[in-house]
Amino acid sequence: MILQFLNMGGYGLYIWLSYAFAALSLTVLYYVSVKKLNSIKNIEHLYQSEKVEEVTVSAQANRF
Amino acid sequence: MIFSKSSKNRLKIFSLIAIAASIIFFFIYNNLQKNVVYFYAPQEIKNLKDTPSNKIRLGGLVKEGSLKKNNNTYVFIITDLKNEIFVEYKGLLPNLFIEGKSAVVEGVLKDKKYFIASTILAKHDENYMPPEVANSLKKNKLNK
Amino acid sequence: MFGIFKPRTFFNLANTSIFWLKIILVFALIVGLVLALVFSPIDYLQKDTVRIMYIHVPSSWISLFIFLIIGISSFISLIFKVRVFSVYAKSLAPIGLVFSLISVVTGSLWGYPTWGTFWSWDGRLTSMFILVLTYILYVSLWLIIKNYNSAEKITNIVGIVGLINIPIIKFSVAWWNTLHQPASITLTAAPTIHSSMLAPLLIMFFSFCILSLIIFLIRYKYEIINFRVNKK
Repeated sequence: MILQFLNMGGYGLYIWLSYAFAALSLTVLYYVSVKKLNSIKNIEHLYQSEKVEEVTVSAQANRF
Repeated sequence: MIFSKSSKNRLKIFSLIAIAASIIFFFIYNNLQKNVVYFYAPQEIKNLKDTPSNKIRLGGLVKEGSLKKNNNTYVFIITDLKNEIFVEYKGLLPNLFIEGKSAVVEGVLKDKKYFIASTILAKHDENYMPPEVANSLKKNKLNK
Repeated sequence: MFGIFKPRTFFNLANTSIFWLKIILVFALIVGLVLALVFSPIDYLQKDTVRIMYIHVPSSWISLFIFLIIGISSFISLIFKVRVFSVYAKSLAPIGLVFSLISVVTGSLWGYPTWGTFWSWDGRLTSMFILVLTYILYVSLWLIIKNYNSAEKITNIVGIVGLINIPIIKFSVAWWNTLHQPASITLTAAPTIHSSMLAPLLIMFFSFCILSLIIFLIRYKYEIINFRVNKK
């Protein structure tokens, strides 16, 4: 039953390779992005606290 | 120094773009030359002035009832419903190579009516449906 | 009207909505995958290989769509100097790159059992290959060039020039003889995919869109913080 499902009428190899490649590359992309963001988490809280936020909002209006 | 840090940098960037642009240009040029005519239809072969001696591709419908096997050699007809070309091929056929469906064959023309193929590619259309639907469509066609 | 393009908008969205987007993603992905792998019927000719379509087609759509956004953003950034658009493009590019790679890899894994070859240089496959190259060029230019302003300018140009390729990819199957089949889903006519196969296709497309949005918000947040830190 399970083997029959995995076999996919003889095309299992191609189908599972496709799904595995997609899953793997998207997972890697997601975790790399999260890791990048976490690496600057220690400065992020500055932007989250209200006082600094106001400064950056007004500053960014000029910047962008 | 002429090569200040920023000018070196600019030079690097410039050459990178130049290399990349030429690679892309090469690909586009090369493929526009060859692959805009990715394959010829039988009608286009008929219209050619002389028989090309190099490897070309021929595409069209595999005529129903034309596929014959002799030892390891297959012979069938590729048609655009107006013109027909015999194709000879030695080797394994792809799974989706079916009479009445499209195929692209790669090889050389012996003459304008006879093609010796070295590779066969099955081409499929944009219709996707479950077998039951395909069967009932077929039945409806026959009943008409 | 242009208020939504303030850097703040997506930054706030990233803080408030990623959690909910993740929940939607998990549900959509489970429904989509179960439909795609278990309940959707086999094709009358291609048999089970049609299941690769549920990954291949949404990935291709998203990679094209993302490059369209990158191109337009680059244009706005270069011409009108609205710099937040470069940040949009920069955050989106790696996502588009991954989806274009998925499209090419799953496409050739689908091509082998159906066409009989992994790769052939026809109009569609060649133009898609050029899209992957353009994505690689775009992403690597951001990595190589250390000066933010010059990186911004150069990638803007790449984004604009690369935009030419998008209609070529889209219409290659209509303009030229190709091995690749023509589009099944168009804006002008009824889709030529049976509804039992169209449903998983659209649900998978929806999940990939949500996933792209989540990754975009994460990368965008990083880029905005990084941009301000570098400016100080």
